[in-house]
Amino acid sequence: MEQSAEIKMVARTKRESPSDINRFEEKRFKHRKRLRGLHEDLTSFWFLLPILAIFVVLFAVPLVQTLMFSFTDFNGYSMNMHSVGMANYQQVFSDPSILQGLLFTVIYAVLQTIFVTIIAIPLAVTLNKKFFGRNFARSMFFFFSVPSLAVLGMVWKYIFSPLKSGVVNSVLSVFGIGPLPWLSNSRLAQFCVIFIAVWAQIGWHATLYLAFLQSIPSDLYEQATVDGASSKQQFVHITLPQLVPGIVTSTFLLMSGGLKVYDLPYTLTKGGPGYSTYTVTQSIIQQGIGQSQYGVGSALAVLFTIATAIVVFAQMGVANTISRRFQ
Amino acid sequence: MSSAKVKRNIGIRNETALSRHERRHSVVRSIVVLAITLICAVPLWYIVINTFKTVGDMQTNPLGLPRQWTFANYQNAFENVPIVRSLVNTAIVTVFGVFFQVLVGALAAYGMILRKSFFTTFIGMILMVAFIIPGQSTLIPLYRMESQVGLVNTLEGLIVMYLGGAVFCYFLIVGYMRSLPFELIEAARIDGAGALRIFWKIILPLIRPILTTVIVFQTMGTWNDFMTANVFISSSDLKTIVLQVYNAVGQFTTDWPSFMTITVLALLPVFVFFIFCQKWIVSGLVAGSVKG
Amino acid sequence: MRIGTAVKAIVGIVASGAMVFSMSACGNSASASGGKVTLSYFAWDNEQTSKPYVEEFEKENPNIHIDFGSSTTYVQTLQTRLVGNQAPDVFIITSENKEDLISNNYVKDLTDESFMKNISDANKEFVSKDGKAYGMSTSSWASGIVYNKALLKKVGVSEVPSTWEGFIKLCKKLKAAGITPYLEANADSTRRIQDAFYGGLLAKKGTDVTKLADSKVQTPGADSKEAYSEWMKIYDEGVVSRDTVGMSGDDLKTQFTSGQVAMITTGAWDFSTFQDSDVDWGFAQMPAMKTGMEQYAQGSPSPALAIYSKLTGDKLKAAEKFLTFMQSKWALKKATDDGNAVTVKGYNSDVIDQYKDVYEKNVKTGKYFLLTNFYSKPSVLDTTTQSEIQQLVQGSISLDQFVQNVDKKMASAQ
Repeated sequence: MEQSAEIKMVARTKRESPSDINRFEEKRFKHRKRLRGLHEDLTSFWFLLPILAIFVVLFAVPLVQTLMFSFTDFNGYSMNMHSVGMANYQQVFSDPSILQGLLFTVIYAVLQTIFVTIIAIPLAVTLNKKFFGRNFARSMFFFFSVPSLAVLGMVWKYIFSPLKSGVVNSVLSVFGIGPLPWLSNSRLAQFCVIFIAVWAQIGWHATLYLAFLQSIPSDLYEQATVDGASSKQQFVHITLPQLVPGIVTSTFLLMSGGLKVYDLPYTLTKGGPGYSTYTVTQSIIQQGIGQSQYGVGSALAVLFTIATAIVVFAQMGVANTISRRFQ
Repeated sequence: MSSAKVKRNIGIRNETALSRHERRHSVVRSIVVLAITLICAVPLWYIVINTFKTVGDMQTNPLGLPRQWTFANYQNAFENVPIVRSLVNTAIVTVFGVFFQVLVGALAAYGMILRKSFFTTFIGMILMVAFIIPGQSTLIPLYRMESQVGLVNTLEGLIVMYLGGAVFCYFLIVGYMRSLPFELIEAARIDGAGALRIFWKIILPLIRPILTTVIVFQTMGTWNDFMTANVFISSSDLKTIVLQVYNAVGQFTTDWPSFMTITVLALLPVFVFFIFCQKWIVSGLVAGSVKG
Repeated sequence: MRIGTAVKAIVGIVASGAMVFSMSACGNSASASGGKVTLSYFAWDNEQTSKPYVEEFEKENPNIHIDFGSSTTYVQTLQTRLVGNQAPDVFIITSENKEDLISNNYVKDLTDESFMKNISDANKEFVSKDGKAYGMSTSSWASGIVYNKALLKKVGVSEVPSTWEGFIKLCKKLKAAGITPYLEANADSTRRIQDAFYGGLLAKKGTDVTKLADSKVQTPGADSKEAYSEWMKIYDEGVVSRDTVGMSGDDLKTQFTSGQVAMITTGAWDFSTFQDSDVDWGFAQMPAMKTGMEQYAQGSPSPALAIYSKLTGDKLKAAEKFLTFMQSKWALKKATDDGNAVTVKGYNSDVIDQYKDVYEKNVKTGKYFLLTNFYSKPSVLDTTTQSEIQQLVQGSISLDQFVQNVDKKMASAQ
């Protein structure tokens, strides 16, 4: 009870915030803030300490080790290794299959980011409105992303089988179409991988947007309704701009996750037909583990980490610029 | 939760009074959305319905109802696979893993918005690196590390591995916190509340939608993890349920009935968990005023 | 939630967590100190297949407890555990990892062990280096052509032809009758026919296959080109659908058991499914590449059991006991029942009727060949041939490009 009173108080303060009294108070804050600067740095540090510890142990140290491996002839079996200089990096660039893997990885990451985003936002807005069966629809959409992609890949393999008896082909045959060579044709196989990825992720990203929709102040809509704005106008002028933080988060996750994709193409097609759905991560694993060239695999991992960092930070930069325009 | 009783001004639109126009829209919406949902649910239907069929029935009639309902697949699963034991193992690593992930992530997000300085910006950049490293490439270094401290092949060791998810939690939560009005914190500060007190009393209730989303998502992820558990757990006593799913995949052929049956058994608890949690995702802020 | 309650909740959760941890720790120490020897066994086969052996062994040796584990990503997982100093006591050595395990001294030399006495020479040779055997393999496998007797009868044929030419003729006949003649699983198990052809070709030439891996320049592509050009006829002449690129072994199995295809390539691991189906089926040797050549099969000794090289004392004794058990009458009988073709000397494997032909003519005589057993860098070869074969079947590369791509990849991997 004590707390609810506190929130009420806080909320009231917020509503009155554009007033003159507040502007005066803000000045006082700034003064106090400067005084307490050091103290606050320390407080903030204490809150950040656990995650820093986790980051160092689970990410930084292994990454540094990978970097070290990339300059050696480490075979993944014996810790008795020798330095080979830049040889592993040279080999990465001389392997044509890696280039093909890179191509599909980029196509995959970009397309899944675009399609998931343009489907998940309207979906979230719809699921936020009231209609019969809403809870059921919400649960189902979210639930598509629950089974791991490794499990889903196995089931979809059945569904997209190029055989006449494949699930999709049986359905198509009712309409007199097909059978289509789903997983046998390079283009169609790429389509299948991306389609399944989008299918599996829209629910979760819609849920994410749904959570962000809750932070949009409802008075914005009330005002707009009073002003006679149509629901389409409301969507473009209120919902979308207000969702920008959510879009930044969601596309970042899609992009970074998409570039690292492994499970789905591997279980669905093992990278085939040929190299059409081959990914960079599959290449890292094959080099490092299958082929006992852990050094080469590590070199590829290092290069890929750097490349991904550039792409993702560029994306963040663009996203931040956009979100600043809206705020 | 006392805050649940608080009516807040922020939230979804007031839905109590629907006009006739809106009601018609809602019917159309129901039909369209539910139709799409059902089409999208075909793969899940496929998994579930086939666990009640014989192999022959499954091949000739993959999508229809079973010609004759059989529970033999479930019986086999419970007889041949230590389902309960694996579920318990999975529950232990998921509960502890997710609890610490979310706690650490939320604390970090709060620490981050408390103070914007060169230091926090730098940390923010550094943490992003965690999303970029391809997990498969750091498996050997991580395994060697845990091996040195005797944590491999233990549930504790697995939980430690899952703590990496804290960065993901942090990222989602900090994004959400930034969209909250910062004046709330400032106002509480004027009242002399300490940082930890503000965190518990103001921040946590406010970020409940994203917190629930993150908890649910990390629960799904941890519960379903195959890659880490597959490498770090070697004793069959400690196997998680997803490893049992993959046990049905042999070197040459897959035992489809048991693959799908154990998949269903593995997913059932998380499904129930999600149903239980889902109303909190959207109703966190507006609970009391609107019933989801 | 009040701070006090929250703190209490955290303390409670952490405490109960500590309890669970200490309980599991207790569990571990009890099994180590109870006077029992614990032997860790990391298997290639999944739990369903391996567990009966483990249970029987524990029954016969009450002082030994086996800590059993298995993984679908066996080779990769074993590697991580070995380099992380968590080697299992007994594990599997197979064509994909034998080179690495032997050259990095992870496996014990078993040449002079008593349990190796009756192991057949071909199986010993499979996991040998410089005359020393590092694993115990008790069976072999060979693939062949599974055929639907009723469908073949429709075109008046009762047997699968013994030459490729005859085979293609039969396919054309079946196709003309509206029956899908033949399918192979190019999505996951490519090379069945090609390996058989190449094996026959090498035998005809009299090549010593054990020397193939020794040559500095590895050219499996160029070496086997003739075999590939013969095999490709089924696609070039349009008798088989190029869609096999996207078909898996599981797809083939369901197609066959539902009577939708006359012939597929597979092996004994699918027999139990065929037995359960309504199809009247037979299992024939793979055709010879050309008249005058022998009918080889794609096949290999089965993965072998190995003992960790640093094992000593009671554990070593227990491991040796386990390997001895694994070639006991009981274990071999069980292996036969599971569909394995046992090759141990002095043991007469009683295989099912359908398997007899291939068992007598390929498995027992050693007339089988697996490309990856005889060239160095088997994993590179395996993944590369798979991707390149898919492109070949799709028609996106020519045979010459295929040869060139495979050999280039092999050269860069050395």
